[in-house]
Amino acid sequence: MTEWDLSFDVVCVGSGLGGITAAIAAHDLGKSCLVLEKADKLGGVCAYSGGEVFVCNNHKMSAEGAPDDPTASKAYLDFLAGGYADPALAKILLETGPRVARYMDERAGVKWKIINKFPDYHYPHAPGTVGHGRYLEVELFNGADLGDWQHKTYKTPHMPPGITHDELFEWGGLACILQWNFGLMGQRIMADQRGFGPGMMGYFIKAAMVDRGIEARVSTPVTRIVTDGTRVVGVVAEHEGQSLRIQARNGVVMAIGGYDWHPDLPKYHEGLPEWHSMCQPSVAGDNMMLGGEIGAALAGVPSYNLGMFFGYRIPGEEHDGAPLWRASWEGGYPHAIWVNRKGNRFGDESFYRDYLPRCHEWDGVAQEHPNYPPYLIFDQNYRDKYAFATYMPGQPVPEEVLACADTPEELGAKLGIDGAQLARTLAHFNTFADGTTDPDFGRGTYPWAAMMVGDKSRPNPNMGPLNKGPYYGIALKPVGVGINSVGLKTDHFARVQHVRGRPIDGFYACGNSAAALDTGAGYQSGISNLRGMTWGYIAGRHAAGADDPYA
Amino acid sequence: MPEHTYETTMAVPVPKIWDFVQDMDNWAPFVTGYQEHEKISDENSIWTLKGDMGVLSRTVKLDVKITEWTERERVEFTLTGINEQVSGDGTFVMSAIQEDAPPEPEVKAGAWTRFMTWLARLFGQSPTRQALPEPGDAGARMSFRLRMDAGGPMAPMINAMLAPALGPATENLGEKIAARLEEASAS
Repeated sequence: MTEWDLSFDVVCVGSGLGGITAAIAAHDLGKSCLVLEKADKLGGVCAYSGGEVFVCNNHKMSAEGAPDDPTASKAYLDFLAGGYADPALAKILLETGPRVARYMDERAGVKWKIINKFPDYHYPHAPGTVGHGRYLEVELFNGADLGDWQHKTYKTPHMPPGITHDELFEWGGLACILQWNFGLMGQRIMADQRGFGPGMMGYFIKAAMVDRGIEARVSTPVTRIVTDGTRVVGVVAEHEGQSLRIQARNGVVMAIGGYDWHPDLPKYHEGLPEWHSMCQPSVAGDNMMLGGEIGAALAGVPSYNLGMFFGYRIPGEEHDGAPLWRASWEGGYPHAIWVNRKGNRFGDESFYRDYLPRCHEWDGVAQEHPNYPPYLIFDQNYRDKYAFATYMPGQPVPEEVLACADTPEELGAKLGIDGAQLARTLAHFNTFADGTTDPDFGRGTYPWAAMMVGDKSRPNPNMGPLNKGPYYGIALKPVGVGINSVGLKTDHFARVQHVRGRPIDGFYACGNSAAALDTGAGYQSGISNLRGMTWGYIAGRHAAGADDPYA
Repeated sequence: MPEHTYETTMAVPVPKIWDFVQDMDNWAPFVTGYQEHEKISDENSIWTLKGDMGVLSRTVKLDVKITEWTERERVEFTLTGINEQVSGDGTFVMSAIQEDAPPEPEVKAGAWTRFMTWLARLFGQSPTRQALPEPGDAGARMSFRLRMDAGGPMAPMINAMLAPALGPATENLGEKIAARLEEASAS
């Protein structure tokens, strides 16, 4: 007979958006819930994110008097999926997502707002896209509202603190950092006003832990899923050197991030020779290990077009006890380009949906990635106006971080790339870089890119010539955001599937723990948060025995 | 520009305090975020600190230059960021407490001090040393002042974050020096 140290109806493994939403959903159906978090703070990967939730047909669009078109929404998600999504799962995500957003608004006090005029990634070039409405974020959250959890919740080192997207864009976006209101940001930081991912997770954690009194334990990694031979009945977790057997009468919801920090899994599954992560080091593939031990099936979608970036690390920067890897957005700023080691451009550097698959490309004759690693190149025009990482214009960047040379040829030699071809590439780029059109790769044709990484003072917000020395360059490395291409295979109730093709009773997965069979080959920022929230809700309700988990 | 002064008294005579303080090797590890330091000359040293900015930490290199050196009384210094846009200065001052001096008037903690104390507790840096000289015990008074000022476009934000951090930092250093000296004095 199994003896339990603790007993709950539903145990959620992970305290990001999926786990917290699952706990809220199950709690609201009368179930006792426990959230277990491996890290020493709540919030997970979502708290490190931009806090965007991409919700087609959301109620805020209707409230503005401009409801979304369900046919167009489906057309866009189908376009993103590229034929790799399971139509049934995609339909559930599309139809249930807006219900969950409304539920969290009306029942959990999440103060959503539409990010003003923030277009879909592929707007206006793909079917069904819109220029405004589908991107939700939260109003600023007051950290003090978390009570005892205020200082046990994650904030992000990756997004500007204390502001909203609307403010960021009013101030010129990421490129125009010199226009940001740092005085206001300082006041907001000291008042613990949270935006982006930390703000969103603030609302969700408050709704769960403060308002509903749902129990959560940090620094409590789950080490084993317990079954009774036919279904999952609990977990074993470690806390302060003790092993706890925790019963989950109705189910266990696996809701952790992906496997960014696992030493091997990214190499096996992501199609690139190395991998780093912007996430907390706790994001280490526990979903794969724990699920694998009880026969869970894995599934995947193409690795080359998911949510990831290329970036760099500034020596001396750490977070959560680990090296801090940053995403590089700089390639989309004016006066900057990306090249491969032959010194050639290979994509639209302002739009990462374009360049990511090109970085994964494999040359089967040369047996190499022709565009890996990409090299970020910019000139003194850039350094006069824009920041590199947090090095402001005029602030020297150490040579160990950023190579610098008087000519493109010399820069090429320092970086180990073809400098003569780099010089020719710059000369060619400069023939059109002061204009509006990039005839080679269409740089600046996506309004999303212009808004996010452009400088609106330029004829083309994403272009500017590189004609003023010295020249700068850095080899970029792949950096994950906890969104991986392989995960646990789940069904229409978020139940994890056994390798034999049946659901594992009492075992659920959502968010980045689950394979992205609902979105397929595509990615759109905010869609991972949508996946976590929606499937967390469905998992929590199904585990709680709801007649209609999607309602 | 963020500045904080921390004052303490201890049952240790000034010469012993001076002997300890004049060699930075003695107290360098007590500096918040200390990683290493290198003496370039009698006046100049390079310090490497790990600065906690809440969501991330960064390694900061500082060029510290001593600008005044009055034995058993006062040390003044300036600091200049090598890899960060930050500058500042500071002062160590020590003086003997006279046995026949009238008792010090009780100074009520102001709102700022109370806030700093609360903040120090919040970050787990609550001072542990409680000992003060008994009445009539010939001790010394030591104060440590630190001012830091961020530069560049982000200065308003960085300074807002620096302000509450300086209190715990100065208090931590002062308390640890005092504790070490009193411990040595008692043994």
